[in-house]
Amino acid sequence: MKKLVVLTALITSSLLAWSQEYKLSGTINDSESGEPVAFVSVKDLTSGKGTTTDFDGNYALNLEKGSHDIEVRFFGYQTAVQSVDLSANQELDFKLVPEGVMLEQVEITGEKLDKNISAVEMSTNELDIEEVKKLPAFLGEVDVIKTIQLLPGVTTVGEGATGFNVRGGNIDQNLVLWDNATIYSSSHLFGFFSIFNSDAVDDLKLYKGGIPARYGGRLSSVLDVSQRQGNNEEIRGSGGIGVVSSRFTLDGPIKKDKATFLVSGRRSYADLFLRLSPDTTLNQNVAYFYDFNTRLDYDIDENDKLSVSGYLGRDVFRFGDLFGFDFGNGNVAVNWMHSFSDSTFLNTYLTYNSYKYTFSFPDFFDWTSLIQNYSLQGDLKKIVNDRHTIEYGGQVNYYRFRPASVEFQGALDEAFQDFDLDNEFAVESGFYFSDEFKVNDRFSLQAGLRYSQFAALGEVESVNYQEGVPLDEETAIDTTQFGPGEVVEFYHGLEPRLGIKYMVDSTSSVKLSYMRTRQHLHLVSNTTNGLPIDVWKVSDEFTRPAIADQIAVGYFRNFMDNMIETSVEVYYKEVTDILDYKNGADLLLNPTLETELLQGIGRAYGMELLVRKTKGDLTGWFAYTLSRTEIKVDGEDPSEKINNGDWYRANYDKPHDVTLVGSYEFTERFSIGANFTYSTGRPFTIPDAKYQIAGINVPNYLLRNQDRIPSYHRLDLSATIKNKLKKDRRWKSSWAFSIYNVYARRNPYSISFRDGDNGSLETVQLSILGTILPAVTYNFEF
Amino acid sequence: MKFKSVLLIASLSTIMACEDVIDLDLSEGDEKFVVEGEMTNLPGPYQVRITRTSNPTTNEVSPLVEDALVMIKDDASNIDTLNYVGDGIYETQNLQGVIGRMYTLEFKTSGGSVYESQPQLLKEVYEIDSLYARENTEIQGGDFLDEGFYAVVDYTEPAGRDFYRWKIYKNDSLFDDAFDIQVEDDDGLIPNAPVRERPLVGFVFDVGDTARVEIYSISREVYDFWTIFLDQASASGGPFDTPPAPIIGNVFNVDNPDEQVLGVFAVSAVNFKEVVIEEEE
Repeated sequence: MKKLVVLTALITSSLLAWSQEYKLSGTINDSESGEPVAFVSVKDLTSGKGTTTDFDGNYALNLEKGSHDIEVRFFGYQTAVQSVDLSANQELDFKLVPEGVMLEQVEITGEKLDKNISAVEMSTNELDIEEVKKLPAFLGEVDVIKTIQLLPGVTTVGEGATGFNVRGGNIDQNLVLWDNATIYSSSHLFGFFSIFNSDAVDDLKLYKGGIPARYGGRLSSVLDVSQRQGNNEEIRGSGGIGVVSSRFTLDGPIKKDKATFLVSGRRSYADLFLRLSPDTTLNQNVAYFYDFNTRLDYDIDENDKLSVSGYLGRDVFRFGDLFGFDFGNGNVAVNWMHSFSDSTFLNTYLTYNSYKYTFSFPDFFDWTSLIQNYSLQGDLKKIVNDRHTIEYGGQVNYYRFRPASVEFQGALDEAFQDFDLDNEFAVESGFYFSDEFKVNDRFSLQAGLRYSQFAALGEVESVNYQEGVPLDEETAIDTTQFGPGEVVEFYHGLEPRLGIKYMVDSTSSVKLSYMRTRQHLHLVSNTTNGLPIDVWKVSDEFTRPAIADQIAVGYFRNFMDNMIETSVEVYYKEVTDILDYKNGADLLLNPTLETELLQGIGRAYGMELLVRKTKGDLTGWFAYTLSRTEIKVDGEDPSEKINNGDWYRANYDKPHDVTLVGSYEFTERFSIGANFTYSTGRPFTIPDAKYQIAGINVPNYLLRNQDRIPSYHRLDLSATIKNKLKKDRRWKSSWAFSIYNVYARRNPYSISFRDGDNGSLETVQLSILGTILPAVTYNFEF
Repeated sequence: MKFKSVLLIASLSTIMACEDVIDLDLSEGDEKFVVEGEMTNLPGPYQVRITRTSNPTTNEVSPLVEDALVMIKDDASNIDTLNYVGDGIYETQNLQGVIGRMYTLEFKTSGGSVYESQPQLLKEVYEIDSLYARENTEIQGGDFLDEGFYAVVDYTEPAGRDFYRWKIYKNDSLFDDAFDIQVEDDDGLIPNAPVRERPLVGFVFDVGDTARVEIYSISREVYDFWTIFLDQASASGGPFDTPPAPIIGNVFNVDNPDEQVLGVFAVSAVNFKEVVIEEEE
């Protein structure tokens, strides 16, 4: 009854208002960064009417003729009040001054405070880069990939591992986007650092389940990283000098209120230390990585915005003049945002990404590999009414993979054939429609459907094998030649996505999601950690696309006025056609890679608990994950089975995973951070016997991953001290101290067996970073 | 493997990694037979060693199999019964391998089980055209090699899919560490194109040493066995290891092909050359 009265009152008042009012509208920007601030409360104190700004900081209020006091209020900013006398439609912009001189860009930007419970989406985590920067950083390098590994449901096989595993997914099942361009390898130095230079990152969002229909192409997760936009106020610089690398960023307006730019660079200098080494095999070596980021934003007019971002990064290794090894990504993303009206928006992306590596042994050979990915994507979002928001669009990807091309030189040239593994070409497209439907105040659902198709294309010479026997170079019969652009194999299918939210009360909700995802690209890698030289392979007549179904249910509750967010989620996932490898598979430079590949099924299930405090002097989270990930490969032939065709634990199966992450701001100038992580050791393969051949004692392995290495735990600490501000000087600086592995635990990475003395095997436990690693970084901005 | 060690150097692992030898008690699974046999076209006797597996984490040495009935048969119905000479080793009596023939190893245990190898073809092997020595400083990229002299070979690899094993001796003693076992296939080699001045890296000689280099033809099964065996023997537990897996050789239980039999029976043709390392002028 009460609701009905309120509703009637609202309708009546809006009808009344319609005839007499003028529109007051404007944009609210941060006075420091010049960036728009979303969800700012804008209230007319005279009439009590209010609204909030949208994502672009825009607001509009219909007010009666006459004078009004407009109050603008947002958490973390000083409240502003401005008087206005309305006699026509009028614009009024605000610049919000952050509370406290040095207050960080607020914890939550552009999001509803109770989003954790009120949004339909679940299984997602968002992090602002400022939040990441407060946490202890490995060797002082702020690393978003390392930070997301602290979230529930995200694991890694060990220190220095490339990539991350989400809810039992392999590292190739994560769609890593940087300003919407797909990243194929997110690591520097084989996984010790990530390619995301923290100065160039704005925020990131990780979807572990209930992935919106807009995203496709990977099974397990989407990591969407946005590059920072240049500020609109003045030219600013910032940077840092650390033990591993130094970085420098410059950003600002090109033309005030019209165009901004950002350029950022980072280079490591481990090789400078190597040069100091007296060891001649070390000091001739060069090993470094660099990143270069740029972003340009241009406001064409009120309704059109254009941004162009670019990235180039490389790892470079040189061993004297003998040998060189380079690898890295390069990408360009163009984004055009157009708003047809207040309720209809179109986002168009054109992106290009390349990943390449080169080995060169001068006078021996040059070996190069290249991945190229061109993509065009359009997303249309339309707010139909209060209850329906629809999104639809599509994406077309063109892939060209050049797995390897080897050119011999010198004496080798006479004996060896130069060779090129067949290029792989493919076109993948996806079209989707989704509707976020607010059924009533409690019930909302988001129903989406994605249709994806994939065509592996020529030019390729495809081998035909005998039927009914395992693929092998000896069972090859002949080959079929496919011309350029000719379709070698075609796959397509539907990917339903569903999310349901039920508000139990104003502080808690229950959510459910289901998603089917299809993946047509496979990372071919048989090592514990991924390697920079691992090749990506398209689905073709031998390798089928992998398909995953995941269902998740969660309970979400916020406490203390949304200051504390809690959630518990359970998930169950099944995967078909995940890639595994025959025992002893040879994946390097193999022209008939299909003969080494197996496809199996996987299942993963678990429970994730998260308690997160997002506001106040103390922020951080506690996460606990209980999970299980298993794989089963049961081909017809014994050579096509792993563990006799039984279920076995995946390399990254870690049943218990606990993280505690926190940062505390004592004063404006001094804050500390800490994180603690504990996880069950990952599985490893134990021998069932040893034997002797050629005088060498070796273990005999029968079944994969039957035991576990000891558990992993580690504490990291950090402290940030901001130097005193000098009057009339723009120079601000701070010192960031970090200690990785505070109690110097030799965390086991692996257990292996080697020939010991007197006919026994020696059991060796390897720790990759078995020591305490302190670091200091000097950061500055002006 | 060499490739992996390059990667390890390149990564931080070598700078910060540390190893601890730990105690781990594991129980032994079913006992398995281990076969190590080799015959060639050079005069015999050839040896076949049969042992058993032992507990992986104790000092227990491989138990010897001393009472098996061991035979090598060829496709011309010749049978040679091997005599036990101790240490698990059985020796042929009159057999000499002939290029082009197929050979099968067979043995019967005291328990009555019969084991047989897949028939192995004694396949021709190319000649080493010449063998000479080079000091590391004269070899391309030799700065990165240990100081000393290296055996350098010239040869011509024929057409066809072939697999080889090198054996290198210094003053009649075989380099026999795990890292010294060198098997290779002819992938990527231009058939019949001369290979010139190929240094056999990893084997260092001094002036006055006699270097003997032997080239063996091996079958694909033997090649696959050694590749995986060496991979596992050199596994360090590092980030670039491949998952350990059961190794399948070429010997099987006739009645129960699923029973795991370790080791391999290799049949090879052999060519060799010798050179005395001299100070260069």
